[in-house]
Amino acid sequence: MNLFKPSAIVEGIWRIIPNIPVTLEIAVVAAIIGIILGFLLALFRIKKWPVLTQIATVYISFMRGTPLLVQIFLSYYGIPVMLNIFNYKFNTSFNINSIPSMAFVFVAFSLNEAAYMAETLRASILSVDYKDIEAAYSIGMTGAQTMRRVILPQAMIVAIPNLGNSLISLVKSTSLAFTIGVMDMMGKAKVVSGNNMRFFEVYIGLALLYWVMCILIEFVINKLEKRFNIMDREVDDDD
Amino acid sequence: MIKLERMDKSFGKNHVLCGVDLTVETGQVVSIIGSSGSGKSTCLRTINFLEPADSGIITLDEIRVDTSHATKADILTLRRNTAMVFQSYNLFRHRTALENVMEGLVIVQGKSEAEAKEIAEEELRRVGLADRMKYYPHQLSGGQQQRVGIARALALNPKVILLDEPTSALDPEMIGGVLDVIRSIADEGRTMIIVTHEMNFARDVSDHIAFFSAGRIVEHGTPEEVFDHTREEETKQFLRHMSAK
Repeated sequence: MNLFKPSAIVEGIWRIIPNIPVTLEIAVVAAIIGIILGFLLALFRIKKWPVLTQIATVYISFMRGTPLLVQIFLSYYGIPVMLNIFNYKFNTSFNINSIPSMAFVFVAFSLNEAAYMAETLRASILSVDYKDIEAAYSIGMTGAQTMRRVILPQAMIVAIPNLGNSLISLVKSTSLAFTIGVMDMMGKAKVVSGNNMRFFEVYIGLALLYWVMCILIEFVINKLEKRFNIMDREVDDDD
Repeated sequence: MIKLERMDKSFGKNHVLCGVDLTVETGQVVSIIGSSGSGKSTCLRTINFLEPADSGIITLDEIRVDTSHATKADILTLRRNTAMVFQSYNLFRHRTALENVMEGLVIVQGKSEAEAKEIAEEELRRVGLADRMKYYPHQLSGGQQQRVGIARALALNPKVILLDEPTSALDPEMIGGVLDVIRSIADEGRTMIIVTHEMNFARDVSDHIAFFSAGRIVEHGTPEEVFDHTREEETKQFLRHMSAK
């Protein structure tokens, strides 16, 4: 009897490892685009610009109020439809069949991540003491200079732990990408376990891999947090 | 020379500045005194538009700004020719003392890092912080933080320095040191407007005193005129109240 075969865990891990870059690629792309878009959304909400503020509010509400899996499907089925409409209206000929699955995943994850990042960044930006901003204005800084030199550096200190949490969630969420045929760690685990019929063992291996990745991210975030947190910094006297 | 004409400002129904006129000649020090809520800090903050006035005209040497039609460029021009020392220091908390002073020199005035560092070090030495340049604001005492604030203002070499209750947030034992620093700057012929509750200091350091009440300058004159030969009953009451403390 071979009810449980520990060696299959190890074998599973070895076969999943080559697909780690796919998972990381989704996470990194979504994190970078998400943070840029998220910053813009946060700005729209803070500045109370007509129209843009409302759009940002509705967008964030929708993205946080619908499941990521549904958003992935919306991207997967919606983008080709929209491209077809575009082709029809403007007489272009984009080939909708040539779009790689990864593209749909990037779109869905980036747009989803942006909504969460927006809220994190908004809270961090609003946490900056108005006294520091007044000081910047009083020495003649423009709004953009104040944002770049005073608000963002201070907001980042507050945001880093939350951004770290977002990144960890994001890495775990990438496991949904397999549903539209992306061969990430999860996709590979399904293939491997389907072949050797060692489902439990392979998924243990997969879980361990995700766990290790998240521990590493946490470690890096803690280091960053220490580096940026000037409030605990000792006096540095050497030049 | 800085001149305020008919400065007017309301917060909702609260009329905090009712047509204030004030002129400070170059090299002069004017202290604004008056009880809390009389509009004296607001008046100071309208000069660099931290509180935009509803109307009134600000003239700073050749710069003339009608506050009711001020453009962004007008506001920046005024801010770049003035500097402010705040009641609660308002240092950039993510930057060291030295970086706090350098910030405006590099970012606003476009000086090189090296030049800015030289100026900043000199100003910090002048306010007695030669050994605290690498400290972050939270590692400094209130008095030291305020001296960084003063160095930051001085370094920019503004036409006028606005001091908004510079010692009100300090522990009593810190006040003397900061007042001494301000006194030494005043002696150098800097143009300054100081909002203060320190009557003896105001008398020592000022060329003119303006007494504020309910958004108006009720009495204005040399320290001798205002403190020793007070004309207005309201001023007398205020001064009695201050000396009774």
